[in-house]
Amino acid sequence: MLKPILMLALMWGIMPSFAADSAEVRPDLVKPRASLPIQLIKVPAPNPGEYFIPPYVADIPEDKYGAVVEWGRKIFTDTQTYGKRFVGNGLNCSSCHLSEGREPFSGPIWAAYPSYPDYRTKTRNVVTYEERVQDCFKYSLDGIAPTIDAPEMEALVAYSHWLSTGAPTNTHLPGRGFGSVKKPQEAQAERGKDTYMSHCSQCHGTDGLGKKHPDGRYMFPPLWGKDSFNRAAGMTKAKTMAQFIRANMPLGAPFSLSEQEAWDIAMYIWIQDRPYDPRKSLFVNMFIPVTPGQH
Amino acid sequence: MIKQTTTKLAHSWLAHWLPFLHWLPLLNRQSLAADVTAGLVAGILIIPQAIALATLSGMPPEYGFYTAIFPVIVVSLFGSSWHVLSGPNTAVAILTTSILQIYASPFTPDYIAYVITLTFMVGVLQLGFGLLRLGVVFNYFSYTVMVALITGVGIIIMVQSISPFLGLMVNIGEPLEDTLYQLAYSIQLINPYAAGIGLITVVSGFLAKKYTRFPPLIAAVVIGMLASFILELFIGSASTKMDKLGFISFSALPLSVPDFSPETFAIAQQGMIVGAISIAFLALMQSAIIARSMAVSSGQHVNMNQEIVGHGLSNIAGGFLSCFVSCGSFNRSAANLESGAVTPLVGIISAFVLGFLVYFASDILAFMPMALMAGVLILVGWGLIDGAEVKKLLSMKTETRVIFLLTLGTTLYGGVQNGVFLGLFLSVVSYLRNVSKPEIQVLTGERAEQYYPLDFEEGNVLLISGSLFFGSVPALENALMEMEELDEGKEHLYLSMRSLQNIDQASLKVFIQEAHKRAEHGKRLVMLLESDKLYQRSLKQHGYVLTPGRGGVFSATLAEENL
Repeated sequence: MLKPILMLALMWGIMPSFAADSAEVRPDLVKPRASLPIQLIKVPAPNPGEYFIPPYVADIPEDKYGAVVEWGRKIFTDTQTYGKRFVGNGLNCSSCHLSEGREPFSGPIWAAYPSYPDYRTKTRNVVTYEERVQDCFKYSLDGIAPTIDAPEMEALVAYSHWLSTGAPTNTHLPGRGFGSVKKPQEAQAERGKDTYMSHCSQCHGTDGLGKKHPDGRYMFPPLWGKDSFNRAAGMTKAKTMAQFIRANMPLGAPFSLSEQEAWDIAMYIWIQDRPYDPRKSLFVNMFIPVTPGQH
Repeated sequence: MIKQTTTKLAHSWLAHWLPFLHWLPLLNRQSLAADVTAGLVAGILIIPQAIALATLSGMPPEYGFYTAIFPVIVVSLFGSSWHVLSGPNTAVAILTTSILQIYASPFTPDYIAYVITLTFMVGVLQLGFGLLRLGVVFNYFSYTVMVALITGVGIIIMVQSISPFLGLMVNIGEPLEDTLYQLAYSIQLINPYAAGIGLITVVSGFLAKKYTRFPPLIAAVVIGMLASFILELFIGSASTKMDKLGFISFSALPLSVPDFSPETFAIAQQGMIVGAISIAFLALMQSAIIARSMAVSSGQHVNMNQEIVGHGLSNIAGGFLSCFVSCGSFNRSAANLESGAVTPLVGIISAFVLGFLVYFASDILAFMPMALMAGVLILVGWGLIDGAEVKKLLSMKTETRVIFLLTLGTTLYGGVQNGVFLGLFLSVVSYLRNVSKPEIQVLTGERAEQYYPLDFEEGNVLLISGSLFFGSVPALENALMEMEELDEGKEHLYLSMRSLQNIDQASLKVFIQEAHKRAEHGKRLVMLLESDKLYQRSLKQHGYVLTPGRGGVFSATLAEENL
C-alpha cells in the first residue's frame, strides 16, 4: 500500500529536475526591455529568461564537424558571400533569424531544427528540415534552392544541429517562431506609414530599400523592392510580419510597439511592391492581386 | 620570308623553350581573322561542357570555367600542336570523382582543396614525363584499350545522368546496376517537368547533329533553356521544383595553393598518389592521341615531348589557379580545325571569349535546370561511344576483342582508375605477345638454296625476321622442332637473319643447343647476319666465330673448341 505512494513521491521529486535539464536556463541572457513602462505591456513570453540557450560560438568543436558548423554559420550570417550561388536578393538568413538564429521569437533555429520533419499547411505535406530550408531559399531569399545533397545545405543543417545541442526533439519550445499577435479591429496601411516613418525609416530608409555598406551588401535589409523577399515568403503574410515586428523591432527594443502599431506597419509593408511569387505563372503574378492573408 | 624566320628560330635554344616563337611570325591579317573566328566558336562551344564536366568532377561550375580558361592558354603557348585545344575532359572528370569522393564529399571546400592538389601533382608528373622524353611510351598504348576506356566512361556518364535527368536523387558511387535498380523503384517520384526539359534537350541535340551544321551541344542548351523559361513563365519556377545551377561567382584571377599540409593531405596521400599517376596517364594518352590525329589532318609536325611538357605546365598552373585536371579535348580540337584555325592563338582568344561570356551571362546560366545539364551529359556520353568502332572491335576474333571486353568490364565495374591500369597492363602484354612472335619460315631443298651463299654446302634454312628475345624462345623451339621432323638434324642448318632487329642471350642459347645437336652428325649451324656490329660482342661471348662472306653477309659459326 505504501509502495505506490512512495513511487509517486519519488516521481514528484524527479519531475522538476527533468524540466530543468531539458531546457537550460541562463537568466543573465534575458534581453533588456525597452525603456517604456513595460509592466503595462503584455509580454507573450512565458517566464522571462526561460528560453533555450544554444551553445556559444567559441564552443564550436575544432574538428571536421566543427569546420562544417563554422561554414554553416558563415553561410547563415553572410549568405551574400558564402551562399551567393543560391541567393537572388540582398538578404541573409540572419536578416530574419536575428542574432545568428539564436533570438527567441525571431524564428530561432534551435526551436525550428528539432521540430522537423513536420506537417506544413503551406505545402500541405510533411517536410524535412532540408526541404524547409529549400523553401527559405526559394521564397525569402528569392533565389534558387540548393539541392538536398548540396554541401551548403549540409553545412546549414550542421549549424542548425549544433545550435540545437541539448534541445528536446519534437517539442514546441518556448520562443519558437515569431510569437503571437492578436489581430486588432482594423489594420490601416496609412496609419502604418506614419508609424513606419517614425520608428523604422531611420534604419530601413524612408523608401524601405534598406541601407547598404560601402561594399554593396546590406547593413539594414530592404523591406520591399527587388532586393527583398518575394511574394511567396512567410514574411509577406501580414500576420507573420506583425508578429516579427512586435517581437523584434525596432532592433534592441522588442515588444515596444503595440499590437495595433505592429499590424499597421505590417500592412504598410504588405502593400509595397516586391519580387513575384515563383509558384505562380507570370500572368497570375501580374494580373491577380494578393490578399493579406495569402502567403 | 616567313619560312626563313621560322626555320632560323627553330634552331635557336630560345624557340626550344618557348615554342610559341614558332608560330608567332605566322600571324598576319588573314590568319588573325581566321583565328579570331575560330576562337569565338571555341569559346562558346566550351560553356555547356565546362559546366557539365565541373559537376561531373564534383566541382562547383565556376571551376569548370577556370579549367576551360587558364590551362588552355598555357597549352597554347607551350604545347607543340597548333590545333589541340585543352580543357576539361570527361574521362578525367569521372576518374577524379572516383578517386577523391572517398576522402571528402564532392563540392565541399575539402574536396576542392584535394582536387587542386591533385591537379598540381598530375602536372608535375606530366612535366617529368615530358622532360625525360618519355613521350614515346604513349605509342605503345593500345588503341583498343583507349576505345574501351572511352566507351566505358560514356556508359558511366549516361547512367549517372539518368537520375538528375528525371529530377530524382539516387545514391552516388554505387555499382551501375544498383543505380538502375534504384531508378526503377523511384519511378513514381519522377519530376515530369525536369524529365520534359531533359528530353527536349537531348532530342534537340540529336536533331541538330543530324540535320544541321549547328554545334549540337549549343543547340541543346539554347533550346532547353528556352523551353524551361517558357515553362516557368506559365507554371512558376517554384512549382516546377526543378533543381537549378545557381549563380556563379566568377573571379578573374582565382588564386589557389596546392595543399600538402599533413592534416588534410596525409589521409588521402596514398590514394592521391596512385590517382595522380593514373590521371596523368589517362590525360596524356588522350592528349597524345588527339595531337597525333590533329597532326595527321593538318600536316603539322608535332613534337610529342614538347606537347607533354605543355600539358604538364598547364596542370601545374592549374594547381595555382583553381583548376581541375585538363587535357586535350577531341571534339573541341576537331571543331577548331574545322573552323579554320591557323595558330594556337585560337586557344588564347577562346579563353578570353569564355571569360567575358561567363561574366555577362552568369545571371542567365544561374537558371539552367540540372535536368538540362544531365541532358547535355547524356549527349556527351553518347558522343563518346563510337558504335561503328565498337562493332569493329567486337567482330575481331583475336585478342583485340578480349582486351576490349576486359577493359570495358573493369572500367564499368571496377572504376575508371582500375580500367586505366588494366588497360596499360594489357597494352604491354599484347605488345609483347605481338613482338614475341618472330616470323620464322622453314625452308628445305631447292627452296632454301637462294638464302645461303653459293660456296656453302647444301643445307636447310630458317628464315627469321622480327625480334628474338626470351619471349620468342617457344616460337623458336617450335620452328626448330619442325625442321627436325623434316631433316632429323642430319643437314646443315643456315639461319638467315638478315632482317633481324634484335637477338638476346636466351635465344642464342637455343641456337647453341641446336648447334651441339647438329655437330653430333658432323653438320654445322651457321647464322647469316647483315652486319657484324650488332651482335658481335654477345656472339663472341658465346664462342662464335664471325667470318665475312660475299655481299656483305657475315656468317657466325660456333668455334670448334666450343663444340
